[in-house]
Order: sequence, then C-alpha cells, then structure tokens
Amino acid sequence: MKIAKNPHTNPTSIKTRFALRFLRAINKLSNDNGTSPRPLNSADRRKRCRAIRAASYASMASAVGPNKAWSRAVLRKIRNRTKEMIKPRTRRGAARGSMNPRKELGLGQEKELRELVPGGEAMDFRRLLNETGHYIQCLRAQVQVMRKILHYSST
Amino acid sequence: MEKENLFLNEVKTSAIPYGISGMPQSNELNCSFFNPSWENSVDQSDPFESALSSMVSSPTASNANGSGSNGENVVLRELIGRLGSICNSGEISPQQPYSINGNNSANTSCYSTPLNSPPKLNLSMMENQQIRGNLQIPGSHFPSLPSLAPFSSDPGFAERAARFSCFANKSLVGLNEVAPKLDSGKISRVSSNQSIKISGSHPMAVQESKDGGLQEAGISASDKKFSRLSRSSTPENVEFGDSRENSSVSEQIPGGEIVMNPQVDANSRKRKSIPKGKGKETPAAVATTPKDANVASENSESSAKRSKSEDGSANEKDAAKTKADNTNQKQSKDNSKPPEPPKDYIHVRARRGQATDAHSLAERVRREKISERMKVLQDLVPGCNKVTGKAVMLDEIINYVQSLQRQVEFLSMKLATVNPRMDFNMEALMSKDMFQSRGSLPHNMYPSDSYPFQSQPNLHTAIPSASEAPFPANNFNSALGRNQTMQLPPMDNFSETASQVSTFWEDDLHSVVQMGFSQNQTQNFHGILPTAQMKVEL
Repeated sequence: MKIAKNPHTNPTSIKTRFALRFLRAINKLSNDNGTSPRPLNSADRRKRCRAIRAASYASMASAVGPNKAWSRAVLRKIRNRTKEMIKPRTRRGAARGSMNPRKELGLGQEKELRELVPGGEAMDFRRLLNETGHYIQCLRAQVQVMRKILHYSST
Repeated sequence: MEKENLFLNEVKTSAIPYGISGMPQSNELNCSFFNPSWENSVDQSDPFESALSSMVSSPTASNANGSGSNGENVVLRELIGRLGSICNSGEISPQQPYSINGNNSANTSCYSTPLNSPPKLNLSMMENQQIRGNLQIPGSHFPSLPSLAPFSSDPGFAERAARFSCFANKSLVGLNEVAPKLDSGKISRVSSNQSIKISGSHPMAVQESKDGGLQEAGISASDKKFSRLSRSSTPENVEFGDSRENSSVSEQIPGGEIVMNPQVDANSRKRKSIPKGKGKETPAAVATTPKDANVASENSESSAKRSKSEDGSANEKDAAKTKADNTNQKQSKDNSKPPEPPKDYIHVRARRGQATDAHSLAERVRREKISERMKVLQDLVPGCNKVTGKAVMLDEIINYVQSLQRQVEFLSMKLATVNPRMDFNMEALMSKDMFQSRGSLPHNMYPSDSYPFQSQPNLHTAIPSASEAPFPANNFNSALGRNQTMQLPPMDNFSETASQVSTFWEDDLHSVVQMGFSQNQTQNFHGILPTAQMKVEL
C-alpha cells in the first residue's frame, strides 16, 4: 500500500509534531490576545474558537506534510485564505462527481465523503479511500491531543 | 541477462575456430578472411581451456576425436566443459544420441536446414565428419546424417555451423540453467529458429555482411529467448509444441530425399527474413516465419505468464496458454511487438469462471482494490466491523469523520474558553506528551501498519495514568521533568540538557534513565534523536 511505504508516517512523530505545532500556535494566539486577559464575550470566544480550530487543522496538516492530498488541500486553503479560515471541510466544492459512477456505492455517500475529506473532490475513489483512512487517523490523533491539552489546561 | 550475453560472446569467439578449422581443409576462398579471427579466437578460448578442460566429458571427447587439429579438440573440450559445468553431464549425454540419430529429433532437423542450405557441395566425408564432430560437441545436436555430408563442406557452412553451435550452446546453457528436464525441446525450438534465420545467408559473397546482420539478429533473438527462457521453468508444453512445429518444417528436409526443394523454400523464407533481421533488430528477426513469430510470442507470453502467475495453478496457465495462442495467431500476422499486450492482460487475470474481457477484468481489479481499502477503513472506524455492505460502511465512515470533526470543533471551543491558562500549559503538555509517547513508544519504533497511529489504545491507557500522576513519585523523574520544562523554549538545548541529566543519573538509576530517555526521545524532533541517544548511551 502506498501509505505503508511513506517515510513520513512515523506515528509518534506525527502526533508529537502536531502537538508541538498546535501548542505553539495556541501560545501565539494567546499572546496575541494576551492584551485582554479575559475576553469572555461570545464574539471573541467564537473568533478564538475558530482560530484555534484552524490552528489545529493547520498544524495537523503541516505535521503530516505534503505527502497526503488532504493535508496539501488544507495547507493550500490556509495559504489562500489566511484571513478567515473557516473549517475547510464544510465548504461546498465544485460538486464534480466521480467520472465513472459506481453502482455498488451510493453516489450521494461518495460525494459526501469527498466533501468531508479535504481535497477529495478531484481524486478517484480508491485514492479517496486511502486519504480517508489517513485522514481519520490524523483526526483521531488530533482529537486526542486536543483533549489532553484541554485536560491539562483546565486542571 | 548479462551473463548470457557474456556467454554468447564467449561462445561466438570460441566458435569461430570451428568454422576456421573446417576451412583449411576445405581450401576455400574465405580462409584469408577468417584467419585473423582465428588467432584471436584461439587466444580468447585459452582461459576457458584452463578453467574448464577438466570438465570434459568422455563421450563428447570421443566425438571430438574425429576432428583434425588439437586446437579444435581443445576448443571443443572447452565448450563441452562449459556445457558440462552448466548443465549436468547426464543432460548432455542424452542429447547426443538425439544428434546422432538425427532423423527423429527436432534438433537434427533444425540443423539439417542449414546444412542443406549451402550450395557448395565440394568436400569430402572427412571434413564433413570433422565439422560434424565440431558441431556435435557444442551443440550436441548435430546430426550425423549421410545426406548432410555433401552439403556441409564449405566454409560458409562451417562458419554457420559454428554459429549454430554457439546458438546451440547458448540455448543449451540458458535452458539447462533453468529447466534441466526439458532441454531438448527448448533447445530444438531455439536452435531451429536460429537455423532458419542463418541458413538464409548461404550465398557466399554476401556472407560477411549477412553474417554480421544475421549474427546480430540471431543472437539478439536468442538473447530474447534466453531472457525469456531463463525466467521460464513452467511453459515447457508450449515450447515443446513449437519445437515440434519447427522441426516438422525442417524435418521434411532430411526425411524427404529431395533435399533441395524444401531447402529452397526455407531459403526463400529466410531471405525474406534476413533484411528484416538486419533492419529491424530483434522482433522482426524473431518473427521471420509465422511459426517463428508464434514461437516468439508464445515464449514471451509464457514468460509473462510465468513471471506473474508463478503461484497460479496449472489450470490457469493452461487457460492462459490457450489465450496466448489465440493472440499469437493474431500477432504473427503483423509480426510487431507480441509481448507487451498479453503481459498486462495476463497480469490482471484472476478468473474463476468470470468474464474475461479486458474491461471486466480491469473492473474486477479495481473493485478488489477498493474493497481492500474499504477493509482497511473498516478496521479504522470503530463499530464498522459488523457492518456489511459498502454503502453502509461508507455511511459509517462518513459519520465517523463528521463526528471527529465535530469533536475537533468542540475541543477548540473548549480550548477557547480555557484560554487564560494557556501559558503554563506548555510544560504540563510536554510532560503529558512524554507520558503518552512513553506508553506508545515501544510499539511505534517499527511501524508495520499502513496508517500512522497504531498506538492509540496505548495512548488511552497512558492518559489516565498521566492525569492521575503527571509526575511519578520518583525523584529523578520529577527532576528530569522540571529540567525539561525549564529548558523548553530552545528545543535543541533542551534535548542536550535532558540527555546530560540522564547521563548524570545513569549510574544509579539506569532503568529510570531509560524511561527518561524515552521521554526525551519522543519529545525531540527526528534529527535530534540519534544524538541524544548517543549521549545517553555514553
């Protein structure tokens, strides 16, 4: 399988790289917002939430590196719109379906999956499944690290 | 392949003396032409003599006794020794009776065509015997047919015969290396092809140029065959069939006493084939006659089949052969590039009573790959194991991805609320990272799976312990953790200091140092890891 030969999939490295990047990004965010120590109004919080989420995705994508299509897509989107980076997955793509319709799979589901996985609009189905697998793993790691960070920051 | 080429060259050079040995006796015109090459060839053949003269087998030596000069014998012995070194002596010996019998085996018939081809019939039986002896030993196929005796006298024939012997040698060697059981059939096939090609060169005046071209063509063709045959151990049936076909063509020559007519036919065929062989190199040369084309294509296909479906059953191979035969007959018409399409075609095949056209095969392969990926995904997504059906599985996957993304969103929201404490988060996070990585490290040293995070169960187990006691009661560990957290901002310095600390404690608390070391290791980036390791191990 393609992923197995990928030298950048050392598991600890991706996770720890993500953690380091994410912490750095959060620190930067908190330092930027550090002028007002407790901005607890909802607008600020939402903005901050969005920024943190974007930072998490970006750090995960950069930790994964440019070998994966989804990380490339995330990084591209970040680069293109650094200003307000909304969650890249919810964006409606060009809605170009797969070139050859698969009968054994629901077309709606495939389309949905393509929209879920960043950069998944333009790849064939096999590659989409590959990317989905990797993306799921990375998301899981992301969730774990974030949960841990939350735990340690809250206690 | 290189080996074979080397061997070809060797045999070529060493085979030249045969042609020359026939020539001084025949007193033909071409002697002057061949003399320089004689010396060279002898010189080149000397090392083989020293190396391989011990390998000579007695029957071949007895055959070689018929030849006139000692040098010939030596060279013959070398060839025999080479053959014997590569093939077993037991394999050579059964082939020689074939050559002696001549009439029955395809090999003799193959050689009979070149014998018939030369127009000059000058020479006596002695020379003929010599030549025959020469040929017999390397090729071990050369027939002792009386009908061939008058034809074999001219130097062109000798040279050709020598070349045939080279081919036979090559074929013997290459085939014996691979499939010792089936030597005769394969060899007969290869040699028959070559003999047909080369026998086209019988006009003596054009002999040089044509010989050059023919040698190239024939050798390249033989190279191709060797490359195929060397890989091949299985497709003996096809090759045997081919050899029989070719032999049937050429057997008409000795069998029917009217030697000249089939010879003329063969020559006409071969004359057609000669310019092809010159101009177009190997494929055209291989495809000189339709049967040859069949042979070549079948060889290639059988090799492709072999290389790809080595583990396939014999039934599959038989079916593949039938297919290959069908395609061969198409390809023999155009004579162009037989091997490539069937390779892919065969590669794809995994059929058990399914549709066999290319589209359905490709579709099946694609579906298999997709299902394979789906299986991987199934292992990834929890609760997806019980689900059957790809649509449901896709649903599950989509739900899982969405839930993960929602979790990320939720966590980021939470983190946004937790904002003010972020500053000292770093240290705790680092320590926690250490713990998590410590839990996951031994499993992740050699990632065997396709996806990066295999160690998540370990992480789950590691988290609660970390949450309960982020720094264990061990003094050293806590000290180490503090040291690390203090040194955090410059990462490189951090690793160095941590490793120094670990070395400092190494004497007393070796096991603890190991733990601390592992923690350090996972904290660092990759480039720093080996250095830290080295320091710790000092």
